[in-house]
Amino acid sequence: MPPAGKVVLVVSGHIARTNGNGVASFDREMLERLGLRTVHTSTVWTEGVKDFEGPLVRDLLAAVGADRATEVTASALNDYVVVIPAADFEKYGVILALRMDGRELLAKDKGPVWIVYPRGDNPELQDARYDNRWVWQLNRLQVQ
Amino acid sequence: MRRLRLGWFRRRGGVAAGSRSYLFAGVAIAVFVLCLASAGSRLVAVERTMTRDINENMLWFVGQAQFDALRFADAVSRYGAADPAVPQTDLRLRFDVMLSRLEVLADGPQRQRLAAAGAADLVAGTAADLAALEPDIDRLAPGDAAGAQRIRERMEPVIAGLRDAANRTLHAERERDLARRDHRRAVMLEILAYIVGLLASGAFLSLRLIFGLRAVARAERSLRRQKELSERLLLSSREGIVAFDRYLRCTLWNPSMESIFGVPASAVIGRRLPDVAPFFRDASVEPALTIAAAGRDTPFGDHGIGSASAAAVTAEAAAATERVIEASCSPLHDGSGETIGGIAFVRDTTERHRIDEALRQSQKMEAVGQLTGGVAHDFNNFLTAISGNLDLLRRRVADDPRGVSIVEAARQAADKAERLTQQLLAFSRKQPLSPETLDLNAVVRGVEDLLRQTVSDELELSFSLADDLAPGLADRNQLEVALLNLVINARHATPPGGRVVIATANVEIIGRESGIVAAGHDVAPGRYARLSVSDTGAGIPPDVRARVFEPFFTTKGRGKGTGLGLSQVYGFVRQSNGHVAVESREGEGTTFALYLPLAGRAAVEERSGADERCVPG
Repeated sequence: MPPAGKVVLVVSGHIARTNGNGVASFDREMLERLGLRTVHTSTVWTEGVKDFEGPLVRDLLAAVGADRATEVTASALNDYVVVIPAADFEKYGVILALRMDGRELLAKDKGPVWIVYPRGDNPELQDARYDNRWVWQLNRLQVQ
Repeated sequence: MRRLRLGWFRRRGGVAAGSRSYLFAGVAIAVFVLCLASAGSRLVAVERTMTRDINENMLWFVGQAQFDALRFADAVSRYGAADPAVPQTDLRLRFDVMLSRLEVLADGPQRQRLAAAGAADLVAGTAADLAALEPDIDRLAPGDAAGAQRIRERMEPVIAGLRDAANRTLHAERERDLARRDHRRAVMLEILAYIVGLLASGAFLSLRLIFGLRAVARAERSLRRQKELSERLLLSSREGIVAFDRYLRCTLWNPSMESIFGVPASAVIGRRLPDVAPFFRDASVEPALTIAAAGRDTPFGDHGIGSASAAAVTAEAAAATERVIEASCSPLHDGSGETIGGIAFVRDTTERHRIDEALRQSQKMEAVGQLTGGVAHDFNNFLTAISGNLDLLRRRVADDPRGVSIVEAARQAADKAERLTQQLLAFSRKQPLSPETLDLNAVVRGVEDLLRQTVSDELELSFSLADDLAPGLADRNQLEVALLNLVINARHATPPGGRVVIATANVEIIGRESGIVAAGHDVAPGRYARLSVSDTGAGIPPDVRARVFEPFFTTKGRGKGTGLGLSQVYGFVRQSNGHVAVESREGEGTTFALYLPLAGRAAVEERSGADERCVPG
């Protein structure tokens, strides 16, 4: 079913389920329907500890039928691109944050979607390699 | 004096070198630990700064902000020029992206870093200022060049500020990186110095360890050799060696102790020595053990020969077997000079004592024999003169019956004296003998009647004569006298109802036999004709046994015996190159045996010096 509202995230590549033009497009409501999860963590770009809220990446991948993904190329509005091993999503509760401290993330800040790792709970994630994968202004995921 | 001082200096030098070597090792260990700790803490510090520095890529953030500000300005210009390639949504996107970039710069960590670069004022409030443009952008119509120009003018200072900020950030980061490089180089050199210190002290310690281990191995080898040697000494020593602690508990018991006391080490170790054998309870032994265990040098024992540090203690009658055991005790010290007990060297001197005793007896008999012989010989000469003169006197007084009877009495006394001197001469082996080949059995039978009268009816006399007795060589008369003397002796020693047995036998003496040696001299091995007289009398106590052959020694009452009977036997047999042996058990009886040389062997058996020979000890 194609999204009713404004599309915020497009998933393409090796996915089993699409909703038009060979891709799976999501509006904010569809993302929220995947089930929300809260991650309580600090980041290297902001001050203090924040509460991030959004669906799990693995739930999104399951929803588009990309269970066998090996890696995902994440692209942002600001043209930032990074390749993320799909194993990260299995191993850690990585979310597509839609809200920070209860406030909706907007495109003029780091929204509408920010990939957030549970950095506070897993010391091994406190590493520059993982910091690179915290894509803000996320708008595209390409599954390999 | 000079030499003494040199020695003293050398010794002092040795001590100083030893403690200095420990000082060096201590310093090396301290250096090693210090270097290791310092290098480690330095490395940890470097690792921390490396982790921290990774996120400090501010130039990238500023550059991206500047880039996206320019892109937004460009999009505004093209939109104002009604460029169809730039729709409204695109304009909005470029605005959002730029704002997002500026927002990141304004956030805590980034703002602090910009401040550190002296660029905080250049971007401060920019994001908030530009956010106010949002309605203008939404209202901007395509081709509105004037509106676009207004927005662009607002953008100009922002872009310039970002450029300056990038500039300052670049310089600040360069400065910071170079400072870090210098610092790291210093730290690296420091660590390098520590590593050199580690290597040097480690090498020193390793060498010390190697030399130390070699020295230890050498010392162990020599210790092992020493230990083996001392064990072998203990095992091989014919002296009994026993060690004991301060409470006289046995700690060492060597195999010779085992053979002396007949008790194995396993049954003795840990027990108090006085509980082990009567010997250690002896009045002269136990105090010596106690004194040694107390760490004092034992005073002289009752047979005190030896130095003050090892007093000899003799304990006779140690065990039921009547052996003579000697022990010398001394304190046992440990390495620090503390007394930890004592050690005793123990030897069984029974044999030596016995031989000493035999030798002493032999020498006494010899001395008595010479004295007796000398006196008897001279006395006999006087007697001859007296007898001859008495004969002359008798002729002179032949007409006077009273005179004759007086001379006759004197003559009888002289005859008795002459017999006495003969017996003394017999003992001292100076009587004239006429040795002849004799069948001892025939000699015995020849005097059988006389012997039977001698023993009387109260005793049973029996004979046990060998059939094939080899002929002996001796003086017949003296042999008969000797046999008679022995039988008289047996009769006196045996209570009524007892038995006297006269026996002959061929014997061969192979080595020294104790019963024969007891007669006081060495016996030559060889074949002999043996004539013995045994009784079932009271036996002879050991202390008496040694003296029975001495002249005038008698156990009979005063006036009952001459004390010369056995002396005659002894002197005659010895003069005949034979031997006398006494075997006696108290309460069971006594056997006197004469060992006479065989006929035909006399020439080669001439050994007048035999009795002077010392008993080999």
